[in-house]
Amino acid sequence: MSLSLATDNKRSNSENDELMHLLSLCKLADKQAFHQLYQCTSARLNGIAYRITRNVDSANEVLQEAFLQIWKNCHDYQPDKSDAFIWLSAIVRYRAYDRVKYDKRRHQTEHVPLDEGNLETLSFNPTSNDEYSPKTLNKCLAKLEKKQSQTIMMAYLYGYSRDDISAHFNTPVNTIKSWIRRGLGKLQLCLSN
Amino acid sequence: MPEQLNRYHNAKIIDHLASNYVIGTLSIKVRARLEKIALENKLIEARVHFWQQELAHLDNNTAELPASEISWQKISATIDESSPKVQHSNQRFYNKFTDYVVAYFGHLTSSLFNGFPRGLTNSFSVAVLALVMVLLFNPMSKTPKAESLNYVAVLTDDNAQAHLVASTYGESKRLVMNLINHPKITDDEDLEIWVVSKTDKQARSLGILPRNMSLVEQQLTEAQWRLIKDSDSLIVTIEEQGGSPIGEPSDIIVSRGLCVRLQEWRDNV
Repeated sequence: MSLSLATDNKRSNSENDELMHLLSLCKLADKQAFHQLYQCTSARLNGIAYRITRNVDSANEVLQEAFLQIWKNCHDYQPDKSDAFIWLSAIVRYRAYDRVKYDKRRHQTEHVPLDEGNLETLSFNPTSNDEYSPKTLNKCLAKLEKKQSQTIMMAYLYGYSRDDISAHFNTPVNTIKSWIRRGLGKLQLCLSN
Repeated sequence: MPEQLNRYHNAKIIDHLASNYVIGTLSIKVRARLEKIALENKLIEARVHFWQQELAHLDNNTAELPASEISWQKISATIDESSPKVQHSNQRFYNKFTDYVVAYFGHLTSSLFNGFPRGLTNSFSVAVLALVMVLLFNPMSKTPKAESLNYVAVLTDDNAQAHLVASTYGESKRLVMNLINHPKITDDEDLEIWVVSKTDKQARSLGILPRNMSLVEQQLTEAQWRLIKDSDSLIVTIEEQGGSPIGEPSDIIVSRGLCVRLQEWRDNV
């Protein structure tokens, strides 16, 4: 069994099937399959962890914690409800979000700098030729006010808290909450239609 | 639990929580609570899946970062440490159970209370043994005879005084807690019991201990049962009323105790 996920961003059905198969073997405590799952996905998942934590060591620690959680909770994976990689990446993201929050709370006096370089990439371009971004999500994000889509992506992609976003826009937190709430509301309506 | 669930029947609230959960803007405490509730609330679970599935496309262009070489070694070593052992017969287990408890807790107490007078630690071992035996054959317990005890933890305070004995029964997934004494807490405080994971060493809440009750039975959820199965130890902390606001234990630890899987006793007889 071989997977070529390392260089391919597109999650095809066959790749999803492969990951699902590996996860089903993990449910039987097949450690070899778990290792294969790790080899297939760790670079991409570590990239997601790094995107949020902005620290290589933290990203690796998040990845380790996430894979232990995956091994322990692989019985929770429901193939009829979620693509395998989406399930895996969600675990990594939530671990990374918690890590960022935890580190911030431990060092509350430290200012967490926002990476302006990263923020530049948040200008969502609905006319992009990015073949891997689903058109629906593109269109729906484009329908939002710019600040609404930006705040949602700042949170999702980089783990920025509402306080971080508030500081970035020099805007009260309640206003940020409102942008996010309205943005997600519109997005939900658009995606559901 | 039904009271908690009632708060999450409103579709707008559910979608608000699910979407904010997925984009990571919930606090650690609310995130943990939502994960717990989602195990039993299919609507929340479905909305979380919806948002995860839709927004996951944002991850597509994230650059890869090869994991460090030791990452897999650490993962693999942790898994190997926590893998279950082979079962032995019940009969042999019961024949040597008492000896093992004495040896185990004798070792435990001498480790924990190194420097205390030998008589004190021996007394403590006997007290713990008595507690465990009472627990196992507790006439007050409604546990059916056929149902076996799976895990037991004796939580002691800094003075080596037993505070609480916790035991779980695998078939019905029940947690039974015998509170030996009741530490003084103020009206705006609660005692909260936590499971410390063997895998990631993180503490996760099992809930608030009811005040002034000596025998507490709690039906565990699937998630809580998994926590028990992966438990290293249990701790009881003093938290503000209603439980820890941050989903993590405070520094004020009232008692603690190793969680002993009875399988381990079986393996040693």
